[in-house]
Amino acid sequence: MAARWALLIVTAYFLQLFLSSLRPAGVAIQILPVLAVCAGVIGGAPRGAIVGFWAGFVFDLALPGPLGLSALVYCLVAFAVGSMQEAVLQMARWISIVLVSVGAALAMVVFALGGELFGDHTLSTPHLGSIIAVVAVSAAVMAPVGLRLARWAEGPDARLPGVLADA
Amino acid sequence: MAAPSRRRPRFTIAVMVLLSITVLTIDGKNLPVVRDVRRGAVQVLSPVEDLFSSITRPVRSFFGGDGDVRTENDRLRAEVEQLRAERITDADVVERLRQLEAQEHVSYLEASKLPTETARLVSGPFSNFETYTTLIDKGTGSGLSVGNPVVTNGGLIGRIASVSTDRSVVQLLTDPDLRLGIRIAETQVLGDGRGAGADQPFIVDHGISLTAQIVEGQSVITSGLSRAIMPPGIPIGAVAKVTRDQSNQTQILEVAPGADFSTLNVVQVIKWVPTG
Repeated sequence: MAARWALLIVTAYFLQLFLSSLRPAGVAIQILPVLAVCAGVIGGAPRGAIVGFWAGFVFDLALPGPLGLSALVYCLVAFAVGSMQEAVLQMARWISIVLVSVGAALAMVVFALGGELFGDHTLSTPHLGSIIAVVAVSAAVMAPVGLRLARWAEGPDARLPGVLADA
Repeated sequence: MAAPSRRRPRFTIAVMVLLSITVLTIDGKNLPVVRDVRRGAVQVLSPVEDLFSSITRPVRSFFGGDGDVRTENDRLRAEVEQLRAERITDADVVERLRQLEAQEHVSYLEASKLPTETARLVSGPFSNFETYTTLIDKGTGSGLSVGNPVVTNGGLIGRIASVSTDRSVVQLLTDPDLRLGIRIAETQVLGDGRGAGADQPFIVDHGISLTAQIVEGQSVITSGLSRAIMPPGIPIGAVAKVTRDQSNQTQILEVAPGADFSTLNVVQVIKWVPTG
């Protein structure tokens, strides 16, 4: 299971490089927070926290900002989404997709707040609204694939019946 | 006592948060090992970046509109920027020569022939919040170092903030944390300014007295004096607005940058480092 998640994180990392070249409305599509949130939805809050940390840490290595900020943000958001998921016994597929979309957008907001705390002036970006909107929409599009991949990585330990039951 | 199934999530999130904060704290101390790890990661990634950039270039051009029109627009913008910079430099040269001649000094504006390196912006940034930085495709392998000014035909873009073998992170002039000394070319008045954010003018908020004769349109260049993180004479832009601050007995200047930050592609890096 750990090897599968590691493979997914590395693959998502290089896909992130690819997609950052294509910027709809000037916004870079984010894959790693989507992966982290999917880990929380399928694998539960602790899984989301662990995958979120490593996905964020790997991403931070390539960014000029504070090392560890993405790790902190992704693990918190993925944990929160996973906790919400665990509070519901069964969840329709579309709700899972909405959760992933909201989680990814929330990660952008929390990152902006965290970056501001560390002196990066992230809140003063004039495109914060566009960033949240584009990331939310792209996360919703990527969510079905992300949730399937998360289910594959969890293997038999996927613990939330009712999610993607018709997948 | 909480059931084990409830303790595990709390324990896990606590450990992950503590680990994240530890990494942030270590990174904040700017240890050489951390810098080396990040530089190593950038070096490993740079061939992958270049590959993805070349793969996506046709798609990006497609979504960007008609290639011929854009190319022509870029050429015309570059010409306009160059003309603006030449006008600023000429005004500075004329005024300094007049003052020097008035004092019977035999000295001329040194067109200091500093070595430069041409660089191109890399396909990043990868994050949506790298508003005040950009990445170029040259590094220590080309003789670049931290502190080198980065310019275009239009004027100052920023300075190199960190560098690896074949990549450099450029801190842009729009960064509110970037302060530097300026000079008004037409009057030789000195001041201090800083970036004010993306799509915002450069703000000169220190050093310009109320008696200084500042008008809109005057040229602003680097002074190379106070906070000498730049060599003298690099065009920054032109005064767009003057506000008189009576309480502080200063004038606040809004400077429209000469360089067009929205169309950055090829830049020049001046191989000059601050001595202070």
